[in-house]
Amino acid sequence: MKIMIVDDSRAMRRIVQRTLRRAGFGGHDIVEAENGSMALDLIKEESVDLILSDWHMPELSGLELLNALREGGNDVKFGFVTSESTADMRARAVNAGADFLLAKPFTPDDMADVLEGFVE
Amino acid sequence: MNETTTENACAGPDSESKTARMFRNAVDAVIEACDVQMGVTLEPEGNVRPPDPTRSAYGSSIALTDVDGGSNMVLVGDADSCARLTRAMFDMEDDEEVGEEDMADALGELVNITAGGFKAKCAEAGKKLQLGLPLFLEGGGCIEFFVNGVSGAAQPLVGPDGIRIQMVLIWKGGIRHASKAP
Repeated sequence: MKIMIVDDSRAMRRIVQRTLRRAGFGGHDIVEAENGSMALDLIKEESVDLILSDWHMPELSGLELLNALREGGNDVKFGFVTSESTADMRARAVNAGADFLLAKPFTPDDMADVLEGFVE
Repeated sequence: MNETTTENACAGPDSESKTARMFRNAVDAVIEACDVQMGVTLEPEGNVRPPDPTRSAYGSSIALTDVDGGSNMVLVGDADSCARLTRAMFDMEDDEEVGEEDMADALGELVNITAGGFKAKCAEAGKKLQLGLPLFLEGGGCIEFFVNGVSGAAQPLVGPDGIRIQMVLIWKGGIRHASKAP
């Protein structure tokens, strides 16, 4: 399974990778992108099975990335990993077609809970 | 010790208890972010006080904008404390050298996570906040220009291995210091 981590923060990309490993999902291929635009370019070249994306990013936000994917007919599993998690944002995420929203800070157990059913 | 009151940030106008609660929420957000995301247990040291520019070699600031104008949340610390937090965030060895880029990334993410937690707590209290982007601060006394130009209040936090940082809230106006701790 190929998992794409999209975040403009190098620190958070490392944290997400580490948390995936600690949550028991360390055996999967990981692809990284620094923003939504870069993610879209990468997805044109290689398909991924799950996207874990930040919300606020330069060039193309996580929400814009999700909208672009869904408008293009791509139904890849998509979860937001974001420091902001108000009810309004959760509603916007779901309405746009996100499968889950994981709020920072998060533990490996939190990660395992949201990925249950998406990642083997 | 001082009590800090404000007419903006997440507090209602002249609501001292609400201000104190919101300041505590900000402190709790720092503690939670460090504990959950980095495994570093921090605890408050003493009461809220004016920021101390002498213990601020590095830091990260993020704007919190609200209908009243907003504030800045700043996390600052001495060089050794910021290096230790960076190592914790990146799972680095204790003796591994910390570069400035690593520190900027780590402190930026830490203040971002903290501000996100604080925003969620504000939302629960019916106050909307808009977060800016983290800004890395460096140089001795990197918050000095803040305390000279505008008003702020700080909560020192201490952790293992001598970690000592300050969580500073800086208002663009409407702050005053009173005589007792919140």
